[in-house]
Amino acid sequence: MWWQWAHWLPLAVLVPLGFGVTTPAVAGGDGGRAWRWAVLGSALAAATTLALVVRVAREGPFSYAFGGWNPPYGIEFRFDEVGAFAFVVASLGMLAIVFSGRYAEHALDPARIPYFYTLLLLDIAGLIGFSVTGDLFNMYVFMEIISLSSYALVAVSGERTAEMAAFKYLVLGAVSSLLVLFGIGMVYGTTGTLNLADAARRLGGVGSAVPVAVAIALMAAGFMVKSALFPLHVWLPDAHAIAPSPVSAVLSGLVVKVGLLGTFRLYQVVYRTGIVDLAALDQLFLWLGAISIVMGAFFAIFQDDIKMMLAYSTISNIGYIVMGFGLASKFALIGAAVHIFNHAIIKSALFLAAGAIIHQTGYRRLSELRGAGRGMPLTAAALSVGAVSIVGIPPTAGFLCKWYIALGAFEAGRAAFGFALVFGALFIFVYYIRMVNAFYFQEPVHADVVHAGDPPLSMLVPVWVLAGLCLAMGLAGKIPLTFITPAISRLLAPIGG
Amino acid sequence: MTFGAPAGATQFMALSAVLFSLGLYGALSRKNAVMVLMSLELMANAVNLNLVALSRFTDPAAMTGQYFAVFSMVVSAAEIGLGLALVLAIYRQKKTIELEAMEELKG
Repeated sequence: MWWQWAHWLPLAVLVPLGFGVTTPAVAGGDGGRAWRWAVLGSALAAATTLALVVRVAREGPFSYAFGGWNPPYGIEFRFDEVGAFAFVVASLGMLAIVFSGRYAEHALDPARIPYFYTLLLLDIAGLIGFSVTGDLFNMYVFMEIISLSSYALVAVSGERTAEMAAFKYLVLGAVSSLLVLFGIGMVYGTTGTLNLADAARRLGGVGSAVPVAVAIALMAAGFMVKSALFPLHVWLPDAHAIAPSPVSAVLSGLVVKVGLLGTFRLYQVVYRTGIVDLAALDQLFLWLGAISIVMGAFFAIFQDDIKMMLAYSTISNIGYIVMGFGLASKFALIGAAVHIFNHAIIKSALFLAAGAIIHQTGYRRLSELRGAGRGMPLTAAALSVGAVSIVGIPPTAGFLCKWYIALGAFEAGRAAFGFALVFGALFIFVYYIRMVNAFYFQEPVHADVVHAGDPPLSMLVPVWVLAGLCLAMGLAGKIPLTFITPAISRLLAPIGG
Repeated sequence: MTFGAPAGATQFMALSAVLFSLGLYGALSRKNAVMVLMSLELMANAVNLNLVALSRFTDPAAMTGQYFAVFSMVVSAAEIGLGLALVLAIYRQKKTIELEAMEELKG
């Protein structure tokens, strides 16, 4: 079958990488041509990753050994159900690039536009690579490709505060990368291998647990900064709010998930070896997750800037996923893994819709955007669909995964955290209802907001595709849940099972 | 067992842990943007030292750690380059590289 061709896996990374590097040369200074080239590249990447998802759904996880060198000696790409995040990355990346076409003309210096697409495609290539790699060495390199292109993307607009936000992001991002790298070094020193599966095997026979515990602590700390858990979140709101809107969608939907996917891969290595008791780490995740949910929502309530509000909402939602990891029961882990996918879709929909509104009206504060629902009905409706999904009201995408995490809390005998989750959802409901209220029911402050009109189709279509997906992922919510279940079962299976 | 036993590995790891901690302290406490970048570089070199030492003491023939260190040097050079570019861009606007003076972000 077409989806069984072995080379889809390396191509999934090489296609966006190749298109990204060639964009400035192909464009020759023409922003429109750069856009068409980038759309083509990301569409091909989405098609390639789709083949991988079809194969993993039919056959289970599979590997690709570079140059025919079998692991643990060669470099291995491994695609499992969680790696299907690569498909989400490629398709959301494509929608963000389509959206950027008209947005970039208006918001960016024309000379920078081809490089903007280069950076977006490199970001996508790094994210796909990070999702599919089976090797710690590669994992670090892809993580740095993602980080470096993200820092540059935050600064690309050249706005007054953008460079400072990017610098802050760079310093904390570099610290977290180096923590992870130190941890990877410790794993290598302990096991003598960099292959994930091989490391998991060899950890069982390690004499002393201390270096393994240090490695886990360092990597978990690094990934927590990357995913912006509450006390380590300081870099996120500025970077995500100041970046151009399609970039915010990619950063908030996809790039923060690097920390979560990394944590999941770390779990896959150490969970079943039993050499280190992970109870303390689970406790930490549980509490930090719960605090992130509440604090993210609390800060978001006081934001007037619509993108700042969405950025704080990301912190809340990361809290949900990390709490799911901390509960470590089957339902909670399934819910958390699916929320990685669903939050990506919902938050991209929200940021792109918000970007379209800012693009059309020129305002970004809720107090100035009153009445936007009348001026641009289709965009505001899409934003409302996203808001309903992220609160977790059935039948939208946010509901089932949060429901599963809450079920997991009861399953693990931690009912209090289940209530914290529901309480957090109420908080989130408050600030999204404030936004919907401002758009539809308050008298406009600026008359031009009412006459702004919906954005051009190249912006409206990606927004509505994503809003439609928010609804579809809710109505067909069983499909992602059953898709991800084998990966979680394998993670939780008893040793030797 | 491949960890800790041979004489020397522990000392190298202790040294790299000290360097890493010094760099971390500098990166989070320095007020001068260039000093922050230098502290990041110190952390990166601590990690590279660790990788090379572990490679030497666990599996000297394969040299995996040494390859890894070379890659990681390239990556950190790119990172510092980007950081310095940002510092230059900020300096052109603000005429300062003191982080306190640039603070007008809300986060």
